[in-house]
Amino acid sequence: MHDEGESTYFLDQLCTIAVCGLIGFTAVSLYMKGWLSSRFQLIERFHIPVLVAGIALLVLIVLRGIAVWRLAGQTRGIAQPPEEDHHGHDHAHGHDHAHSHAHAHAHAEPKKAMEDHGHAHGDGGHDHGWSPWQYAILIIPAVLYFLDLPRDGYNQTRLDADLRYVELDPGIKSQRIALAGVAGGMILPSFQKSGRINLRFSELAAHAATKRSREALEGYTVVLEGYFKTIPGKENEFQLFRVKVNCCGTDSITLQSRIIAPPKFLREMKYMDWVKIEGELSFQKIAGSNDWMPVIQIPDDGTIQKLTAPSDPNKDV
Amino acid sequence: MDQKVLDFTKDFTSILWEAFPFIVLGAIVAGILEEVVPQQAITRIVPKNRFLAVGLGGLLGLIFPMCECGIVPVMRRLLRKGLPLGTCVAYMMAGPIINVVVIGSTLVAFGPHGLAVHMTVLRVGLGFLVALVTGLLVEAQFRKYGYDLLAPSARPQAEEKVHVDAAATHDVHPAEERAGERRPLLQRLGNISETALHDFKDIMVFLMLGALLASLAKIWITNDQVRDLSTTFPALVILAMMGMAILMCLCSEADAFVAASFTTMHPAAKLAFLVLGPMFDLKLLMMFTRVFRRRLILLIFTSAVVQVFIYSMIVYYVWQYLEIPYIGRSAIDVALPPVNSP
Repeated sequence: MHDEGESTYFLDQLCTIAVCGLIGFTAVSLYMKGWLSSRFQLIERFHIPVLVAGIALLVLIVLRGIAVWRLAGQTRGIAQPPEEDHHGHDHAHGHDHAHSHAHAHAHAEPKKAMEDHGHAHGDGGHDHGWSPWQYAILIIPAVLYFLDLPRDGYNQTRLDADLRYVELDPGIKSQRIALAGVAGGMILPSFQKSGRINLRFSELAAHAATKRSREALEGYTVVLEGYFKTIPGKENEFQLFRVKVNCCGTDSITLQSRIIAPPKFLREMKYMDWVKIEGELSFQKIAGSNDWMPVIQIPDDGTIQKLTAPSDPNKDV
Repeated sequence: MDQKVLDFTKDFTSILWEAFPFIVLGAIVAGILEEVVPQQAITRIVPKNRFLAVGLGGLLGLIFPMCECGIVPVMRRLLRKGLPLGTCVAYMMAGPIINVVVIGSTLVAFGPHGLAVHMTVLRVGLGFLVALVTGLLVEAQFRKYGYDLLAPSARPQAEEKVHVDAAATHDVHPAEERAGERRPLLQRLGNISETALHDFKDIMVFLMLGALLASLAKIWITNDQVRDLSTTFPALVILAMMGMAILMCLCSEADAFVAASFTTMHPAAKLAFLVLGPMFDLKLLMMFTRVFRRRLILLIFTSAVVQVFIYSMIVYYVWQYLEIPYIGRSAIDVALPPVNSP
């Protein structure tokens, strides 16, 4: 009984040290390789904490390793003399350790240590019993790391769902064009605005959500950068989008705008090209919804520039 | 490899590594507390007035931070030392929420969403309220049923008529009161590392299970569906998130990141997840059976679930009434931009 308890205890400790060390090593490696941003889209403020936590974990396992080593040494030192019965028995004598949560031990007496060690503590989840299933789960992050997973880039399944094509109701400009047609073309020019505004995607999305902003910004020329995506069946429309990452890739949301451009600009573009556009801003309601989509119209004499994507596309969205 | 599988691993590992620093921090704090702070320090500061005692119990987590994994056995030891039952229950329920580590992780998780203060204040406030009411209800039940509400191993030592042999029950050791004693530094560090690694191991396992479920959910449910559901059927989503909190068994130090990942979900539903999870889940239920009898477990469960649902619904309607945006927000104040000349 004592043998099983002791060997189980040491096995548990060694496995804990090994698994936690593996996790700590993985955390440090992820930081060194830059995977935290390229693969998990973890924002920069988490990078140092992950590194520090990985190092802290490695320090803890070193401390624990030393303590277990000393304990094993004490155990051997108080082992039965050779002439006595020793069929592979190990006796845990005179060890000191504190159990987390349930109770604290400070064993001064070997016999008491034996009794304490031979049983499983069921309270508070602190159990000296052997639970291999826990370790099987805990090595998953390290296994994924060594399998080179996940890959670079965004969650494509979610992107595809977020960027599915939606019909737009005619916008205010369309209505004004119609009205101008009735009034002889005099009304529309008074609504056109001169001036260029610089907006980020997240600001554009926020402005699209409020009526005051939409009316104030409609008609201005806007400059925008983002990823390119074609719309199947549409020769003169495409989507410009960026992914807003709040903490990590899992909580990311896709911000998009609809671009209307002459077909000649779209022929050489492909999915996920980084482009810069400049055109007239308007807003159109998504059919069957209360949400509004920013729409930017590029004139015939306008340009779409294909650029190199920024090193950190999650910045300044 | 199938795209969905790749995307699943991406989401799963993102949640893990985002929460990882907080789990390590919490584990180290738990290890230091266990080694350095004697339990008697807690019992000395509790007032005699039961209402104040229960209220103080709800705030004890600020002084003795502990996640829900470790708080049940700590609370059991306090019970054995004679701390009032209502105070212990309040500490047990609010402690995993109202502590520095969890408040910090909640602020960090929701900061980039522009909801740090809202979610943190609501989580702390509602957590305290639920714990206070439940603690008072428990006190009322205690007056009626006394220590019959507790498992034998949790009853105060003075109440035990028959001497219990500590080694035989294996639940309580005579040496348990030695936390705070002077010991060599290396021994202390060894003890701290054992506690910290044990806690880290425990929490990471359940975090991984929680991240697994959350990542699976995000594969099948789109952001738009989550948003539409949470605004169209708020009660349903709140109940669903409460159910998820019970099933996922996440540690309170890490659950804020999981909740925040549901970006388009209404904050009221996320709040229900964040308040109920640390108070009651499958993992805690198993631990409760070591301390409480069925009647008390049922009381705690019912009180927590009913209160969390009601308060979350109130938050939902107030949030809608005040028209506070919660999707696509950033910490930057969105004012109309300046117009440059063409």
